[in-house]
Amino acid sequence: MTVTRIRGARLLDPTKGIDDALELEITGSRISAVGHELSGSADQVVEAEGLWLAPGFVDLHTHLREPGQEYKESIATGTKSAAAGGFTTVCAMANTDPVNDSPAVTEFIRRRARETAAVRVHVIAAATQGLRGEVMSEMALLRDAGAVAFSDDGAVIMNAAVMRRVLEYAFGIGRTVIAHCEDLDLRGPGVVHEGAHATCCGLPGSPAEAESVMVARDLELARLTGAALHIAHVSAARSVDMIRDAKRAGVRVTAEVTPHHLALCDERIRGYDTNAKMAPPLRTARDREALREGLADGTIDCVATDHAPHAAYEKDVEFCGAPFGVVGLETALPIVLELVRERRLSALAAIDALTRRPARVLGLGAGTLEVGAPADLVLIDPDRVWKVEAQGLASRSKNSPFLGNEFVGRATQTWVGGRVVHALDEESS
Amino acid sequence: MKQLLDTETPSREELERILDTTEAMLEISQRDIKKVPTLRGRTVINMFLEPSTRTRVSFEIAAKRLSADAINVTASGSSLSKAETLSDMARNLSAMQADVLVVRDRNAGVPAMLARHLSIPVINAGDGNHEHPTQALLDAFTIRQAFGNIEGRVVSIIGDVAHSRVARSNIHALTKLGAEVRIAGPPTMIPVGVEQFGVKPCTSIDEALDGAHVVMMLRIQMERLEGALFPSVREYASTWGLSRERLRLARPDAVVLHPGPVNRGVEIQSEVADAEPSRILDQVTNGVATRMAVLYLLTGDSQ
Amino acid sequence: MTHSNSSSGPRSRGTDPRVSATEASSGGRTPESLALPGSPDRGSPDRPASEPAPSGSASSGTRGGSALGGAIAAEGAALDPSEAPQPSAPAPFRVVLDAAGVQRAATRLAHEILERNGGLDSVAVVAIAAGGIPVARLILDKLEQITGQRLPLGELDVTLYRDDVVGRGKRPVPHRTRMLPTVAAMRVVLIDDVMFTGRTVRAAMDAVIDFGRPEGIQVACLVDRGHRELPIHVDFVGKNIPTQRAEQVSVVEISPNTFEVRVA
Repeated sequence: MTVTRIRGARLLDPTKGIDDALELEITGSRISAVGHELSGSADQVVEAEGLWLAPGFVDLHTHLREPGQEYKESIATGTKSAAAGGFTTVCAMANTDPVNDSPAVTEFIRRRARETAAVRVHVIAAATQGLRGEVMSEMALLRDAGAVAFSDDGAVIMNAAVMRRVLEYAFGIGRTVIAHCEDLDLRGPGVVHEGAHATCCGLPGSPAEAESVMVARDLELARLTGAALHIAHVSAARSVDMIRDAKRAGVRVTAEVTPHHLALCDERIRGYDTNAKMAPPLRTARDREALREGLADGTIDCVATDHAPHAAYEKDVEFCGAPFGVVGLETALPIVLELVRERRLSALAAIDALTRRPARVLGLGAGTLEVGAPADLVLIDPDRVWKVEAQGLASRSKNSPFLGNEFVGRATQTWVGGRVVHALDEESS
Repeated sequence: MKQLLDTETPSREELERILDTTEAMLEISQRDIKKVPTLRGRTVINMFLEPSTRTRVSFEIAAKRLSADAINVTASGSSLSKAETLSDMARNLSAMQADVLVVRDRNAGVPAMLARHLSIPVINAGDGNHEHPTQALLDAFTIRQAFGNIEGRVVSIIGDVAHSRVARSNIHALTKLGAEVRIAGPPTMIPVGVEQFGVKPCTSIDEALDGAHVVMMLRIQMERLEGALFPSVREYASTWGLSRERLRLARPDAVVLHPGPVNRGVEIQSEVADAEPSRILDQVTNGVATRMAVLYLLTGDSQ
Repeated sequence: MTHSNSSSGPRSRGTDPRVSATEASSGGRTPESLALPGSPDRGSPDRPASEPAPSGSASSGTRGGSALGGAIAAEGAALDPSEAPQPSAPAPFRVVLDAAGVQRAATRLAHEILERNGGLDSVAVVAIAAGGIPVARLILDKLEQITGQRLPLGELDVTLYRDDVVGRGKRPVPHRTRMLPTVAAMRVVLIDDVMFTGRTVRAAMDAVIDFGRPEGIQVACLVDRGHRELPIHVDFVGKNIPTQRAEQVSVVEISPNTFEVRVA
């Protein structure tokens, strides 16, 4: 078996709290040693002076679009994008075409992932049939087919009774329900955060309360049922407060925040860039601050991208008519690293939010550098300055709100199961 | 000034330059031969993707009085997203060799988005709930005509401010030109964050009218009833409508503006709409002159 | 905006004739600084008059000419206030027609107009805004002294008819035209301050005809500086002044109602 040694890097392993200059050795598909000045021969040595070595990132919220919308993204291109961003595990959302509400679709996605994916793909299945929010899906069969969690995502389950049954049932079969909390009636025609910028642009707004009232409902239902609830892409300060309180009260709730909600606020909609349109919308600077705080104090468990590719022509229309969503796998890391530079997070905490913590939310067993674990790794150049350009993105879609931005920090090499799936400098050389 | 997409962006000086030019343009409309050769051989495309008669006609007359060729492109109803992409539309317009694009669309931002793809001047003739800059300019001109200046005048904008592009454009333009702008309307129709624009929100029409120089009534859209933004026409008319008695709260020399078309008996009583303080028809006349001024200035500045 | 020429363009006349000359002046500085070096014929037409010209330059001859000839060549710079050259020092100038000379010229013009038209019965006097307005007023004063009859004055802005505005470039703000009630069947006497390329007069003839069909159009100017670019004939000339093409000629109001003509 091939032995690869990575040396000279700053090794960050949140599962053991390690932040130290250590060498790591991969033998075959697994991590075989971690330590100072490893001995023995290696087939290959990666010199990683000045770089960080971390577990590969885990994304709980990825839209891979396959089957059905391969013009936006496929399992192959989406996972290539993931690898380029340092992710080694992604969780595919259920709103494919057909909807992943049956074991057949789940199995199809898993098979296609085995055949074409660059990184590990877990499957999130629909919580209700057809994402219609009426009748729950065959959750036990879906679990047996490999579904790791259940979610209707943006097709919000508006009926509280249905949501209650979904939570109860999921609890019974040992799975977490992921909730996109947004009251669709309160949102109405809203496409951006309701506030001065929306008013100035004449765009219909959706108040932060469209999210927080639903967070409140779902927290209550989680408390009622005892189920594990994961709140997707928290965007509002009030939601953070309520999640914090609920955690204190023992509710089994976890939460994620997207990189774009950590980085941007609603001012970004000025100029009608449809790449700044997503659900939930970018909110105020105060909300953004609360999200950063929530991530730092652990109220928000992890960063998840909500990578939502759309074809250029779909976004090249009037703002209200454009689809919601932005790609995010390749720009997540520098946004989280920015919080490290601002001393909001330690380097270890930043990596934790991208690795161990998301893995723990769904019990995925990824995100560690323990000896014996699969060699899912990322090398990070924390000082690499790069510009986000459409042609530089591996995703099939280019709908990033950060096009043209200069970022600091980039994944330079990614391994999945000991195999290199992304190597920046080789590509560029 | 290369575009007129809103009144939020231009400086006070740029707005005043348009108002000053409007003076000269107004005189042309009073001649027997209402035409000057200035834009001879230029093509103005009036692309109205939302039904509108008066604004389209006003722009068409304005273009023709400057000797431009005005081409009307109209389409109603369907949204762009169902037809073609914005960049395709822009490419098509460029291929027509137009010199100016006037665009009205039911969606906020479409003129700005098209302008990003075009090298010719783009004039926003109203985009969704965003802005309607030429309406605000003609309103400002009408106010200047009535009082000699705008600085320090109290302008009360009353009605569905939240869904009014006319209100937005007027708020930006009139505050910039030195007016004191008040707004009033049903609480469901006051936009979030409006106090950040330097206007004074009032809780009743009476408070808004008190001592006002200018009373600007907004058109109430009947479809707002469906959105449950107000309970009934009867209630709206009695709570927020402008009657002769209410108008007495304003200054004796106050003028009344309305962007039209007027819902008589709803936001404004006929006794007010047709009476001396009403400048509603002056607005229409001034609208042509304002649009002439904008066409004239932008066709030069954009080069 | 302040009156004056912040808005003016190739013709650049102020609304108020008293300060109209600022088009050629350096924004109402001292009379010495009227002509702007570096700008071929009209200084900075668009420069806002930061202060009204003290003694005001009544009209810029340059405009008559320069607007026509020079302004075209110098279009960009001449038309865009932001690009207007800043005067580095007061430009030297020479007075080619002093106040008394201006009075004599106006009197002579009045007599010639009377003589040509056999009285004032069918005469309509139209000043080309803005520079022609003070000159026209002077002539109307003289006509009144001679005949006891005060004619109304039409004010015609020709910006929208100009061939250099019809072209492209930063637009000057036109002045409001205040035309006589009718010019149909009248002998229209167009009055301008300085005759130069002839383009202003061409534009003015088109404009006049849009108001009706006059019996005839005659042209009077205080100064003819030559350099015609169009076959335009001037009927009444106060004074012929040979100039270099790049020179600027301006009619300056040195004290209320007192004018002199300068070349810089």
